[in-house]
Amino acid sequence: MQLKIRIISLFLVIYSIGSAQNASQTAEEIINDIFEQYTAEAEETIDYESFYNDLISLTENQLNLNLTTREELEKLAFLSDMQIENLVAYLYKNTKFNTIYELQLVDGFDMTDVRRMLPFVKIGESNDLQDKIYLNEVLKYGKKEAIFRVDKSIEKKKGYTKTVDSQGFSSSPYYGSPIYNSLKLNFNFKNRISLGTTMEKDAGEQFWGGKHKGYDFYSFYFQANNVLKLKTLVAGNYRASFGQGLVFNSGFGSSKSSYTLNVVSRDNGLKKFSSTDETNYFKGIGGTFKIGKSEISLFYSNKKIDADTIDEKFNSFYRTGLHRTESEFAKKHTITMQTIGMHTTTNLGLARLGFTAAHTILSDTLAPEIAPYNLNFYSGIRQTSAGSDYRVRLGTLNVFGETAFSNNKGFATINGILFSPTSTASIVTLWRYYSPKYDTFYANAFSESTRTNNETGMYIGSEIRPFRNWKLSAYVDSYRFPWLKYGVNAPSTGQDYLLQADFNPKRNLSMNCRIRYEQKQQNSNIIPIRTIENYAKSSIRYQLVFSNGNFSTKNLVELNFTDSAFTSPKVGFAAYQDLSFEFEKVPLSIDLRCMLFDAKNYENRFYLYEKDILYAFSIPTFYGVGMRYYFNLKYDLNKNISLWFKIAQTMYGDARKTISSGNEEIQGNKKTDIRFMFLYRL
Amino acid sequence: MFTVLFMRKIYLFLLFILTVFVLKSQTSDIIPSTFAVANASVADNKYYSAFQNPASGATLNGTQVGIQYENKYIINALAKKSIYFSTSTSLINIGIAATYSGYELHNELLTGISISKNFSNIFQLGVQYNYYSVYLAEANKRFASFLPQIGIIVSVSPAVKIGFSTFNPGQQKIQLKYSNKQIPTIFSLGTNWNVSENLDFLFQTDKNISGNYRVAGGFEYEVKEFLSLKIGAYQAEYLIPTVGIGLKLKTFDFYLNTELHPILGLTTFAAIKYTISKD
Repeated sequence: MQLKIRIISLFLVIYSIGSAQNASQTAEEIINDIFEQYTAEAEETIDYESFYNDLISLTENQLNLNLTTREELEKLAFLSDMQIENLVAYLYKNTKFNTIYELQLVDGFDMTDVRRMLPFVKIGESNDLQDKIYLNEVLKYGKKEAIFRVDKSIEKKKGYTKTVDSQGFSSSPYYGSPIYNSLKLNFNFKNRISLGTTMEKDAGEQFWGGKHKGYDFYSFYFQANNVLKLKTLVAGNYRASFGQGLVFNSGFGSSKSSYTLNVVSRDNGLKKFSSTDETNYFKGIGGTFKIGKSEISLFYSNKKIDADTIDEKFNSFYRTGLHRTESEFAKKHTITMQTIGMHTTTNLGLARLGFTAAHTILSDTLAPEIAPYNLNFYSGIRQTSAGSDYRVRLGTLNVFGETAFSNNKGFATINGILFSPTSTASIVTLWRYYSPKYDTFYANAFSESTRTNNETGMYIGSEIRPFRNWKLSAYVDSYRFPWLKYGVNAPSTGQDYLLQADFNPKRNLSMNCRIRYEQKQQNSNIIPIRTIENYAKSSIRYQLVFSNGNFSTKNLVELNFTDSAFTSPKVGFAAYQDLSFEFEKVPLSIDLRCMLFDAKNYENRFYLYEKDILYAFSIPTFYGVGMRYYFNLKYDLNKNISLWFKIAQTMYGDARKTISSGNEEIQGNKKTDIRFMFLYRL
Repeated sequence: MFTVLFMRKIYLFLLFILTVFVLKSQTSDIIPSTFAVANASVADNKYYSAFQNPASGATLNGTQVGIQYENKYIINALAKKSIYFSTSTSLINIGIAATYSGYELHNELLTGISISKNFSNIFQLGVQYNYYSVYLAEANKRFASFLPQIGIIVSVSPAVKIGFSTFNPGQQKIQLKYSNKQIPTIFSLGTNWNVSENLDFLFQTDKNISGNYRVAGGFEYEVKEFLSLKIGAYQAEYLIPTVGIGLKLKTFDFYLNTELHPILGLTTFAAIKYTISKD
């Protein structure tokens, strides 16, 4: 009887999804959608390139569902821990999948999840990861690609304006040309061997001249998986993430998003770093060994970093990676940062225990400016931190956490429970305490602020599928900063709420409505009142996505409201219309957007995702009154060569005479950017 | 049944979002009104709405010509006189329109040519190129500028369409010696819900980039094949009710719409459309 039900269900699933294949998104679109969901509320820059690389490499070397492991499934960032757990349990009970569409029979998976997984998984018998590697195969079947990108702003910025000094010499604040350029060379063999190099010059940096010759940033990476006795070997630039990220997380950290259950950091271990991000990586060598039920990772990093040093002291790291002016250039590579790290993890059936340690030595002394808010910031030349992490799985209950200490008497702990009482409802609770003194170089754990310190809070998130085609996601986060923060001259508190309803009535039509409310405390602007005041920001966003064959549209309307004790409420509004079209007879696809924004006050600014060229992910900030439109084009010249082109213009309608400030200032009310990318794949 | 329920859900979402806007007026002096109730025509492709959404003419078959007269607040100097022509070809549809308003010392002329295409009834896309000129007595000169316009109408289901259009997205303005004359830059987003065979609900929001919002909505009910009634309202600085009537007599269509501003008074709009040929 059970078998019959299974066969009938399977038939229905295949029928319902089979027809959806024509309209299925490309892997690139899926990755963009996932990243957008993750970062929709993010106000900081998140390394999209690494996120994209991790997932796109899975499309070329798909996970074999019948032989996959929990660890492999954790690479799929859009799956919740509970979904992974259910999938592993399903495999255990049913031995193997007969078809990929059988995924919808797994608890907690709906059609949207299955569609998202399609590009990244396959059904097969063998596991390429265990095959022996032969050099001639590596050379013959390895995939090579070269990516060349050029960006330029049309309008002239103040930093490029030449002035003539008293001796008749002309110069401009920026040394270099206004062209951004990067070149990447990558090689990958079945996700077993990868190596490559990245070169980058930002706009304003000198490529060839008196100050500098060549690209401003060079990086090299190498990664080998399951080679000899090593599970992973990395050299050159790499990332390291362990446990919940209290000691090491140089990858994509867990944060608040509409994926309300995905707050558990994925233990990614050591991974290559091929991004153009110039700060968030290690440089050296590392390896992971497997010994019985345990794994040990050891790594060493020695890299130059930027800082403004005076008398062998510096007060902060300079993380922009920009070296355009004399003062920026003077900060380049002034500090040597050496790090040695280790992580060990042991699998004990239902539980997994880990231990992480890090020791960092700086060539100069870090001495933050003396101010009340950074009284507890780390200062010194050597830093040691260590932590222990755990994860216990008891059926539908998943308990996880990490506790860490630093040598300056800092203490941090994060602990959570993920529970799925039914297949249609899941809930996660997360409690964190990061003492003000816990200020380490590589911590990146779940938090409200960008630094993993001076914070305590409780997060509760849930996901419910009350009816067919409906999904409700919600979270509540209540937090407290026990010490002062920048811009907040007293201990403060805050609350953050999100409710999102997703409705997918048809395979080609989806919509969601998101309501978010956040209340924080900040310094009062009223002088002489030296106090902190409550500040609230709420937003409501409605999005509708429709596709039909090779045509798709997206509409978004968003309103936000800000309010504080001493100012009147303010309103911001933004709306856009997207149109994407893929030609049938020509390998050409285009994306168009026309957008309006009306956020007269900076507090009402909008962060809105827009489509971009390959490896680029834009979430520009909009405030003021104006419009923006872009035209994005991709053309596959042949099976080896693809071209991307994008032109975007922001035009303000609020009678401003200039855009931006300082050396980035542009005269007029228009800002136009063009981007071009060339990809050669072999 | 499912379709109706589904449409209701979509509308609940849209209404919820759109009705919470700050409702204030926009001024789009140079753009003539249309046949649609409350001028909410951005997602309506039953008529060619010159200067509103150039995609509106994409589904029309045959050749039509029309004239319209809009008597704003019964002040002759504000009245707009318009004429338009639209024709369909196997490849694209073409529309030509002109509108004039003003008096001897200050008058404005807006002309435009549009090209629109229907893509398998899934979506319609249109672009229009307008030429705007204004005569200013104090300068004793006529000033002019070119204004592009782009629009799209998407059929998200057989009963629901979503329309978007933008007028003068390049924020062109007339450069005078000591100042600039603003030409409105307007974004419109709206829907058209075919509630039943003879009842349409139209809803639209407009934003003038240097002005405020306008929200409009209303019903168009086809009483008989030859007779239709329209009732709706739009929120500007004031809530302005509008009513209208449409008559179809063989090759001639007549439209009469009125609206009542609580302070400025009555505005009437009359139009005659003649269908020269049908494909």
